[in-house]
Amino acid sequence: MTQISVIDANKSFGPQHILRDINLQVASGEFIVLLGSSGCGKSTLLNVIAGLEDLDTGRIIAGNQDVTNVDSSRRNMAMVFQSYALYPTMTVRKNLGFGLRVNKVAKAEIAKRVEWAANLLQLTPLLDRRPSQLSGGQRQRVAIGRALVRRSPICLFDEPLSNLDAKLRTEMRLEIKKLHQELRSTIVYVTHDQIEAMTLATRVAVMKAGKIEQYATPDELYGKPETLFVAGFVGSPSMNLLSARIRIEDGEPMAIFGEHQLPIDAYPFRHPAVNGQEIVIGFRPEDIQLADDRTTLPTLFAPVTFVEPMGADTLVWFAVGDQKLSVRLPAAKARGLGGEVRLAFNPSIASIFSKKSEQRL
Amino acid sequence: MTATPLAQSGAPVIYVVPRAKSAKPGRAILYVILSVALVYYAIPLLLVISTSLKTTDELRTGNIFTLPQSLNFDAWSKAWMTACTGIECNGIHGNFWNSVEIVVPGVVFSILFGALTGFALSQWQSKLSRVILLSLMLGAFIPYQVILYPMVRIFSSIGLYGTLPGIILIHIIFGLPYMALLFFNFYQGVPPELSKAAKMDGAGFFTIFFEIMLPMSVNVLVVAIIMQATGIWNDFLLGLIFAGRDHLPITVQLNNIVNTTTGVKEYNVNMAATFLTALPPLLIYILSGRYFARGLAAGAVKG
Repeated sequence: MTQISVIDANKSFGPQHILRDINLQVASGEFIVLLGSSGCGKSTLLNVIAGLEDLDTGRIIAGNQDVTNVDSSRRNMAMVFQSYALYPTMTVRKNLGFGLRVNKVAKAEIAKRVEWAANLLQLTPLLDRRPSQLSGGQRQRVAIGRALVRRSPICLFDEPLSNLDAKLRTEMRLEIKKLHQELRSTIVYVTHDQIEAMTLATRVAVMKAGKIEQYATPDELYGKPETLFVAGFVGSPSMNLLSARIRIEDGEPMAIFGEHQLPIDAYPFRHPAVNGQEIVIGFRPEDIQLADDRTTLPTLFAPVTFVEPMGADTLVWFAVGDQKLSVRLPAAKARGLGGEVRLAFNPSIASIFSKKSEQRL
Repeated sequence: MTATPLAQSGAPVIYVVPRAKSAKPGRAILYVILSVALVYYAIPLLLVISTSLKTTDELRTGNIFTLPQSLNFDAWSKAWMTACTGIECNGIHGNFWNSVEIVVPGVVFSILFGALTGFALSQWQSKLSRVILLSLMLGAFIPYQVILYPMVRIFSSIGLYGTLPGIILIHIIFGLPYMALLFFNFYQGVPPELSKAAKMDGAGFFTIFFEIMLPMSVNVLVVAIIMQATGIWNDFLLGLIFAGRDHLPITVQLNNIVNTTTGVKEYNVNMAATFLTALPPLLIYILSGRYFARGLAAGAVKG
């Protein structure tokens, strides 16, 4: 319904440069997740979009309007806070209706929408309670309801699930996804939980130190991380990142780590590989296989160091030179594994980064 | 002293430590001190009441500690209606209402402006707001006497000196810094997300203040009302200087009655007038003491 653009946004708190030249385009109806560890500026970016923080330089466009200097109360955006921020002296009903009342919506319409939101979020029996009489999950639903009744074209979520226990978090995650599919508002959602990001988002912006490292669909983020940081941050168990050096033999690039070498000519290099370049080569644990006789993929031998059963899968750790390598195997295959094992690698789906620039090659 | 394990083997062991015997003398000393304090504070009040109930004859014959022979409220009605100051004999009733006229708007507006200022300062953190906060603190602790004369000059130059709005305004001004600090302290403890959420809901400054913050502030409001109501009611100096002849508060009138030098000193009437003057703050404390303790703690820690 409404697109959002953040253009050349900069924000400092004293000497701390929190947002550095941020550019972000959110298409109408998208579900964008801002993902990053604490202090990366993701919440600040959300607050800047909301108008709760002023930009030092740059612009915010919502819909077709430049809202950079518009007060947050006039931006017509709804927001869900991490701490829920329910009004403690008001009942659930009044909490839900407050925004509508302030915006002078007719009483009958307020009652109708409150009822609708209460139904949707199963809050109807709680309407006359105060926030202090609700459980964490119920408060969370009221906070979401308060944003929904506004029917704002833009909804902002600031780590809404981080105060819930694991089971409730999974349930609410699903609820939020369902709500987005029904209501189709534009959503910007802040979290440090990559599972939330991967499951909810149409696109994810991974942030680090005030910059967007990569802005892409969850699949692309997982399959083709643009930077070393994204590669290490996204995915659990995380990607194996091995330091190596490129050697070109007969025009074919090889990755050299310690005594091992691996032909990587199948990797889709964007720029031709340079002899002697220091690189980091990344393999997802599930992309490495146990080699059999028929394999055509490059292989190498490595000794098993640890076995970590995770239920359906088992994570098996190998030593490659002085570096560690994890391989995700079906539990049955991993059983009884030990000693030197021949592993098959598929360089065409690997990720290779320059060690110096930390960018994808 | 031995501790006894209560639980069966296997269950978590709970030790019950018998209450220390040595606590008892300490407690006795505490009660003695409290009793002395009680007597010390109660005796003047009891003497005021007892003397106010005596007749003039009883005053002459007995000493201050003898109890009245009967409950005689003549002195009370005289103090209220006909006690004299110089040539006027109208008692304190007129000044009682003068005080009410001063206290009610004084309390309402000093708290309203104080709370608004405190809220604004808690929302808006900048260099300038820190300067304002610091000057408020200075204002709260500066002695009245220092600024009395400049205030008199200012007030007379704008025609407010010796008027009812004048005395009300002076109470608001003197009450404002402390009220602002009290509310600032409370609102700083309120999570900032609350007002952010209200902003996102479309609420402006005053809507947030009146609909969200003020309803949360009941305990602090009670403290503020008690402090301002008793403070303004008990004020003597400002009333004497700024109220003007027609609006003298009850405290000033009490002083005039007690200090009138014509004829025999009517101690019973003076005591009755004293008690009537002290009654409103006394009632406020008694009726709201519970909220007072709660609110002070709420302001000190957080909501």
